[in-house]
Amino acid sequence: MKHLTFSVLFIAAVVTAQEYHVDRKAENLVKFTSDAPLEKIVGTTKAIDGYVLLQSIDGKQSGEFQFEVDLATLDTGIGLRNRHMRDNYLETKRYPFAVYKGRIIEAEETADGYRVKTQGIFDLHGVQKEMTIDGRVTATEKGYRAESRFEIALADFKIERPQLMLLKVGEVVQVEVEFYVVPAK
Amino acid sequence: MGKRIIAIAVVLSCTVWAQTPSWQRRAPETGPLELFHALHVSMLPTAETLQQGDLEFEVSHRFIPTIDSGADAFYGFDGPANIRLALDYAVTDRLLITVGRTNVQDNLELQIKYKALQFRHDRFPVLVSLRGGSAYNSEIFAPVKSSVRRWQFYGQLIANTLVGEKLGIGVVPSYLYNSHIFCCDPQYSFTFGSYVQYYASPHWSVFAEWNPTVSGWRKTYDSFSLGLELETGGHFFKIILTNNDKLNSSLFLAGADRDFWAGDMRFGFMITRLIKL
Repeated sequence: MKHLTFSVLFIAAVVTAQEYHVDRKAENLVKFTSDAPLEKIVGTTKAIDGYVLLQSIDGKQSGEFQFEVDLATLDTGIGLRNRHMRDNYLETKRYPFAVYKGRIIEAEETADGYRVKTQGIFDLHGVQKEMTIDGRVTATEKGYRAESRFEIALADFKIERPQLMLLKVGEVVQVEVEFYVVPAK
Repeated sequence: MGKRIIAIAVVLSCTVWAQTPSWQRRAPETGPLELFHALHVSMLPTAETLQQGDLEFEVSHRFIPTIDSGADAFYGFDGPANIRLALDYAVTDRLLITVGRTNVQDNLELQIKYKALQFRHDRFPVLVSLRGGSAYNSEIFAPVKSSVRRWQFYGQLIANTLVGEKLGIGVVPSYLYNSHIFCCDPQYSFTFGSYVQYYASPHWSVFAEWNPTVSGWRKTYDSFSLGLELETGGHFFKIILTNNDKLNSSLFLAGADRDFWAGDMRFGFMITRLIKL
């Protein structure tokens, strides 16, 4: 009987799995910063999309997700620099998205939400690399707000580093992501 | 009994785990249609504009002695030279305003370029821009009939395509009013310019430009240019061989004074730098 109760609870818990989508109307922000000597380049976009299937098992948060950024929308503030970035380095016509697909492997409750650890495959410039990315998730009125900071080594993704004037890019770029998810309709 | 339920529960939970998301990827943004890399080929404009708020500074020279002046005059580089300084500013992504000044007749010009139409096509994408300008010749060496004749006006239609992302082709029909400011009656010049530019690598390209006068007044020859372009981030460096030593559009469109095919060519250069305020 004890087993039965547990199983029923288990089913109940699992069935609460819910799909959330990135709220594209929210103030989402994806920002990369390249801090090379003499030149700091900051590129931003709001064009992040994706989903997370959230599950709460035995009170533990878990889930799988896919988030992606439309790279052609990255704006560094100078039109020609954007074009060079798109055409010569990120090659966005061939590889339009940066995708991170994986699952939440740890979720630690904090005062205002969760500190989560994720593991997945980061797909950028046609190269897939396994990565572990930490983030913070806080509850909002409608869903959740997620934020994360991580680093990307350009060489890992076979992205050539421009060396000539104006476009001086560091070996590692800092990425900051902040976005909102709401229940899928 | 309990075990069976657990098994069912596991099966059920697995189904839930395998739940496929309803989310679907949206088509990526196409971005603006951009064909030629720079705002000019040699002296004729491309259909490109800049991103709103961008500034571009230009300095150009045309060395007046021809290259056949030999080593003594360092193939023309000893000068003297005609000089142009200009500043482009993008009011919007499609509207570019340019102020240019050249030391030839102290010609000061104001131009507006508007990116009017874009046709996306896999093989022949097309950009069409309109460009209009006025120029004032403030220091002239001979009397003009009236001070109004110091003004020149011109309009250009620019159509560009880029084949295989490497070969840029453009035509630029141009109309210039008052092409000879010293002539008794106001003259006009209608030219049908064209150019090709081949982008050999992300940094290097070569170009050729031809601006024949179709009707109206022309100096002695049609203008030809050949050149090499180096693109490095926000800079464009162009080395040009041309028979036309003028650099502001109202002076250039009137024609050239030397015969390109007889080898009467001059060296020139153009350097532009993008500035973000």
